Amino acid sequence: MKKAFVLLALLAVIASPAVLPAAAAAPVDLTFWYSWTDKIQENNINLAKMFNETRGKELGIRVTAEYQGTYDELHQKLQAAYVAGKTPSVTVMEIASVRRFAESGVIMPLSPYIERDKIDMDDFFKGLLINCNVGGTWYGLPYLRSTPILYMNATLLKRAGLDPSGPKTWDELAEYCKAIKEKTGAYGITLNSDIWIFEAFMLENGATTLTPDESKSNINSPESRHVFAFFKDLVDKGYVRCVAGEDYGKVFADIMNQKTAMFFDSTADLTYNLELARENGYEINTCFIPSKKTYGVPTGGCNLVLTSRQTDRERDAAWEFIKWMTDSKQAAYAHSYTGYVATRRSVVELPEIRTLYKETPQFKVALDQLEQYGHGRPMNPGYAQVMVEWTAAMDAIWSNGADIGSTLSAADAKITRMNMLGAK
Amino acid sequence: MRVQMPAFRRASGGACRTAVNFLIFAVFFIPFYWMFLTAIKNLGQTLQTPPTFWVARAHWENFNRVFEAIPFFSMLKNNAIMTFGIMICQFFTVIPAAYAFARFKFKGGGFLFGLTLATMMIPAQLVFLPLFLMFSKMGMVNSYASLILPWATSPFAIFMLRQAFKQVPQELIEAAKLDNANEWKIIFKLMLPIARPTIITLGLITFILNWNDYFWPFVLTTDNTVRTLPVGITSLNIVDGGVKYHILMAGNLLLVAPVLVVFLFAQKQIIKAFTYMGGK
Amino acid sequence: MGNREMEKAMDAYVPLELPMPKAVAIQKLLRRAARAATPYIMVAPAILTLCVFVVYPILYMVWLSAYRWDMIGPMVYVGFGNFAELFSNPDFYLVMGNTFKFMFLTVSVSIVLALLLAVYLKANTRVNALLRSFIFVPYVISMVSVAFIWAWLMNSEYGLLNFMLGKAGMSGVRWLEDAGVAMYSMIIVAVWKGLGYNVIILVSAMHAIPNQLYEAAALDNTRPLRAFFRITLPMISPTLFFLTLMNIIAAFKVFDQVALMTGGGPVNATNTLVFDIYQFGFKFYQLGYASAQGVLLMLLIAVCTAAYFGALSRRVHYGGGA
Repeated sequence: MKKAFVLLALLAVIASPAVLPAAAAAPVDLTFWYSWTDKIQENNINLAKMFNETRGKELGIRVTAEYQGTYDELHQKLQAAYVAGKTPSVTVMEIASVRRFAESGVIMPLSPYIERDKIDMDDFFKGLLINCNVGGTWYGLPYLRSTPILYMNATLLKRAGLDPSGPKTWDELAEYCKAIKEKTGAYGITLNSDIWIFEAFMLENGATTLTPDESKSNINSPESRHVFAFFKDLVDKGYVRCVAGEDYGKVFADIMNQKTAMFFDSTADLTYNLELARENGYEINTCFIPSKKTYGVPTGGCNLVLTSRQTDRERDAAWEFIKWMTDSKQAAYAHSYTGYVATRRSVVELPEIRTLYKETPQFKVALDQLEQYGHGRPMNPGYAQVMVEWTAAMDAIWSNGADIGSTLSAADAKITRMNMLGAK
Repeated sequence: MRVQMPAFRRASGGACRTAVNFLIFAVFFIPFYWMFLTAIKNLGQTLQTPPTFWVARAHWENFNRVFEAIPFFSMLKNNAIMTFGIMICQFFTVIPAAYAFARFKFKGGGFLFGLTLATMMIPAQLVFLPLFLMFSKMGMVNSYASLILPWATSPFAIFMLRQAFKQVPQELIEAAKLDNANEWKIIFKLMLPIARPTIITLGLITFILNWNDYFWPFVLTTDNTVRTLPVGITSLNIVDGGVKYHILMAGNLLLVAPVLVVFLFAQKQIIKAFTYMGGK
Repeated sequence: MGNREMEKAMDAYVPLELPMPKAVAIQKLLRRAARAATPYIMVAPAILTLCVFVVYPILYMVWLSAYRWDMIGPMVYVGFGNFAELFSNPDFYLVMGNTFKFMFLTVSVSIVLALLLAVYLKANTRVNALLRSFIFVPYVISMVSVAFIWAWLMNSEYGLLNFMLGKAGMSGVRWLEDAGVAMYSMIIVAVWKGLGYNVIILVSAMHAIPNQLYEAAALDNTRPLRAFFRITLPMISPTLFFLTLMNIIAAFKVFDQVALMTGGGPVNATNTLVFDIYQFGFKFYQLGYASAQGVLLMLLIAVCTAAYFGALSRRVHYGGGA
């Protein structure tokens, strides 16, 4: 027993490449952190493996992909690792957090590499690049990115005698809700208090949740009041149901049970929604989030970033990995595997993606919306706190019948008084 | 009972009592039944209105879905490592300390005992932030050490065991000393056997409280490789695309089952343990 | 046990090497030194652990409360600035209000219900013992399970509670979504989970009351209700006091059920102190502000602890306890 064990241990030591006489140079070992499980996890693991077998092998780079929970958990752990001086080389990062980590020096500029390797930044969709840039410097490249979109239960829409291609404007949206409730008994929309979706509503009114310099919130602006009033009216009439909180759980219960005909959700959930529709026997359609003054959606998801505390050699290797991961072929793979958007124009030109769009046109809707109307998200580190206020306002007004004027002016006053968006 | 009651009053009293008994039973049984039932329903049955109170065919595959979604057994292992790690550490820190506080008069002893008592009421909820930073600096977030070490001793157990040791008659100890037994010998050969019920009781309490703990592993770990079961089960609640209550309840059932089994077999002991904790 | 081996080694070693009288003297000296050190060695592991993992973090927290810091950026000294900000934040009063509301209602409802049930289930019959076990089960399982079970029961569209209310002809309640109701739902869950513990402790306190007292009362034809107020309540009052304090401290640190069932919402209705500390520390990354809140929580707990030890010493003095 013991001998066998020693032998095994010896074999393991000998076989491990670290002690093998280096042919050229010892391979560089990199750690890559990612979030989320399921399809997204498989995508990350598969890509890292493909890298190790192809480009990584050529360059002598080996990447280990490590799962780190939700975005919040990953950020939290990244900070702990930074304090301890042991960060991964490459990590995904939720796009609204890039500025905070860039300004504190946890992640480093990619601009020198981008210039050196002549990366064609114009190939990326413009809306996706806003959150990659802090003060004119590139800090990340778009990876698993998404936008919100309107999903519709086409079966219910047809039953209500409506055009299953969906409403184009807010007025039509209201009409749809009314018709659905009256003809089928289902809710027009089941809504939750999700700030990301609200960002879309603001963009469509020609505004943003924060002022352009991100020093003040627009929660009490006419546009914001209008959004609150529009949906409150639909809720009060019983056409729309709003569940409190940002959690999608209760929304999905209504979707699966066909208690609601429409809902706003991320394009990243497209594959999942198609599956759900198949299982529960209804048709699912997607369309742009209807326009008010214009169409408009924020983007979401994560970028790939490079951490600062590593040797030059590791850093160069890590950049090679980021470059490979965000290149057209891999971007196409991630796009079709998960449902996150195609990040580059060149991705859409690939034959496999053309075929995909022919078979599943719902993918194409997300792309068109992104291409024409995609925006960024606020990057002020204090936005985390403002988001909580905003969510509370949605809970209060939409699902607890609070007065719009007083709720919003109180929230605005608090954001200002607590200096949530000021320097901390 | 003391006063003679007319037969009908006794009968109606009995019926009333049965009704109240049934009510108590219902309030504490139905939630568990509902968990179990949901755990073996499929999605459609879960969201059906009105709900059904029985299913013809149990969907045991829900449990497989749990095993696919989280590394259940590795988390179970983490739970065991954390809980038993804490218990072993406490065994070696609590017993000598309790003995010293019970049997020695030494300089600073009063102060140290006071310090121990003063920390008794300080919950994890108070010190988690500085501890998280501390462990971050040492690069120990996501390690078993960070889960175990902060609980490596228990002021409460020291206090309780000290009381138990104090009740051991002085003559027994003197007799042992005459036999040339040193302090460690006295602890292991004399005190521990006498204080055995207290130690078992404390062990049970430590086990149950730490096995169930959510807060500490939640704030101190971000990585599934060291996360414990209560934290793992909560990730069934944040899966992309909404909560599937039947899967969540299946996971929940798996979390509750071991504790229920232990409780079933050791309920007298456990209830006695917690009664004891109440200071009686 | 290195110490024991050391002493043994000393016993074996000394007589061989040294002339007898000197050896005896040194041996004695060593023994005395070892004996004097023994208690310190014995308490060292426990005390060290407490110092590193309780005392130091508390001092660290107090120190942090004087800074503004996001964990990765530079630290800025602000003195009492965080406390000033805390007291000028309307949300802080809301959070404290929620915390006290939760504490007061959970504790009072728990204690009253537990008293009623303890009287009702006092007799040691088999049915009573079984019911006592049943009530106790939620106490030994994880709050995670309890929170999820109740979140599901309280689901406003598909939950069992609203279905039963509907059967009884009442309209459904949005248990966790209505800002006016959510806190009461939290309290229901907390009471349900903790009731069993309170009941068994009170039952055991009641069992400790000498039976002669009741027999005397019966001879005087005292009515049961009167007997309860004149005998039972005074006799169990030390336990009751003790239990109340334990419940209060437990209620102050409520976190799990808030985090798992409502996330502090809706509209901050269930946002309590520990959850807020967590939020400011790990979500908004304002560690100084979170620490200032922590210092306040510590003061609250200190007051309760002082009361607890006050009660404990009285119990010892008057022989009320074990």
